Amino acid sequence: MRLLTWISLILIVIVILSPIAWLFVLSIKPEAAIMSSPFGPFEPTFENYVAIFERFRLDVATQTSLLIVFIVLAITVPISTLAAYSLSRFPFRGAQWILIFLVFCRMMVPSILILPLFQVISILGLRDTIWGVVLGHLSWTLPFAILILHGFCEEMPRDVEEAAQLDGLGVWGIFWKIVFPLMAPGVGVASLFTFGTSWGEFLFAVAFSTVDVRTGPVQISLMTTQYKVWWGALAASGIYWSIPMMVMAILFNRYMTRGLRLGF
Amino acid sequence: MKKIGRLLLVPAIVLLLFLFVYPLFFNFYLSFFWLNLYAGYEPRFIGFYNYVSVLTDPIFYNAFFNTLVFTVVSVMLEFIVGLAVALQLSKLKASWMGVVSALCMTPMFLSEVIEGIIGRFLFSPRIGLINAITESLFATTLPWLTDKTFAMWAVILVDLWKMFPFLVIIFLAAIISIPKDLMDAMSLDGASQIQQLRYLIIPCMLPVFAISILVRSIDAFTKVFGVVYVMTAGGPGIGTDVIPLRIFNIALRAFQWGIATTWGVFAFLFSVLLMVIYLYVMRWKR
Repeated sequence: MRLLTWISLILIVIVILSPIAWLFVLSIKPEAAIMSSPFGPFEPTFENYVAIFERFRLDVATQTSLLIVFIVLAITVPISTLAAYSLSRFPFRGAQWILIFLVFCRMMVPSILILPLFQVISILGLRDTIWGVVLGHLSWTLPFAILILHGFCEEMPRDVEEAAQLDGLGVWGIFWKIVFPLMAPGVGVASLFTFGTSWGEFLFAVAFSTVDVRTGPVQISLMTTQYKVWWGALAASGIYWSIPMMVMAILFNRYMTRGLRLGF
Repeated sequence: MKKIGRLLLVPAIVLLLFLFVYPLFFNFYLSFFWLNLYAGYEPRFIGFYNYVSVLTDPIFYNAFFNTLVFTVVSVMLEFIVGLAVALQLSKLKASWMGVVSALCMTPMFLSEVIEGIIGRFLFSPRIGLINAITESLFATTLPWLTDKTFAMWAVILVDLWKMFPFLVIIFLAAIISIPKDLMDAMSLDGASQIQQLRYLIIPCMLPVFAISILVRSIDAFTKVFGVVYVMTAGGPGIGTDVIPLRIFNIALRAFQWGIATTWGVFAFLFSVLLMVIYLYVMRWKR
């Protein structure tokens, strides 16, 4: 019985990891070898990795993506931390409805937000800037981060805060000295999810993309056109773009798991 | 004290109203206008005409049906595979459980675009791994990506590969939280593994099942975009066309904003329906 469990789990792990391994094998194959026989021998090469930076300018896209991720993090994390703290510790009549509204936001069809946001950034004169993508990404990250952090706050003990309040500490004092240190792991989880969402997001990134504003996923999607597909470059950029996420998923596995459970 | 505390919520609410409520009004409003951006920004009021033309458009029903098929089939498969893997994982020691579930989770955090690329490397007619394997083993290849039904299956299988770990995580947490002594007591009384599953594990997990299936369905229905965009671009023909992709194309390729917002209204109404069911189930859980 134990043996059967192990065999089935090993099979599952192989099925899960083999597409990624296959992508890696292709990424070190010369373009011509990819097109000929799938299992034939070949000389490993890094030419695809050189090409994605020199020819397909994934270095520029990386900078754009990092800038967007940074802005999205800088807006999402403080706002959602304060909001979750407030919702959990200072509830008012109707606070339930705020939570329902958050779930509603999380379940929205994102593609219907494109045109309104497009109009807003046009009016503000921000077309051809990163702000369209940033606003789009906030619509993913904000509800999710607040829900995760609210879940964290609800699991935190309250008696220390009450004692501190009796000792005469104000809202900010309690928040910085007591609540924030306790919330820190939650803030970490919310940041990880925000980072991951913004790093890989495609819908808003492509909707608001211009020649100067192309995130990594958009730049990668341009390597496949109706007329030609650059297979080697696709494979190499697939590996390159996934490395941060895979490292995070393995390093912070426990935190990510907890975040997933709280945020759904 | 309380006042300041409550004020901390304001920035989030303002931003969310701007990001979600304003766009909804925008969609409802513009859906009553004729507006094609090629002709300049000059909306013309036409009443319910957009609604009539969307509801009489076979492309709408096709996209709706495809999205529904994608959602139902992939969530069903995710559920079955997710539960099976979670049950196997729960038999391991805690340390091994962590390692294996970490390995399982890697696809979940990949970008949709990378998911689509992997899909193409698996299913493309000439260079796809799956066809290469079936050709060398059984001397047959299947028309993945070139036949409507097979293309839909290819998209579903790739999404299954990416998203079932989510259900593994949720189910595993639920199985672990079932008290161990209940399990032990049952096996002492001579219950088989199947009986344990039937009379203890599944009844304990019913609420988790309901909620996770709903959440996954809503996510699959409302957010399927990148994988289809990269793998099939909705093709062959309109065989794998889905609602988010079609809204994107009407809005940003054809620039028919009136029609696009009308599609948006229908998509929104359907997601509200799913959400009402979700809230109802959440209440039932409590």
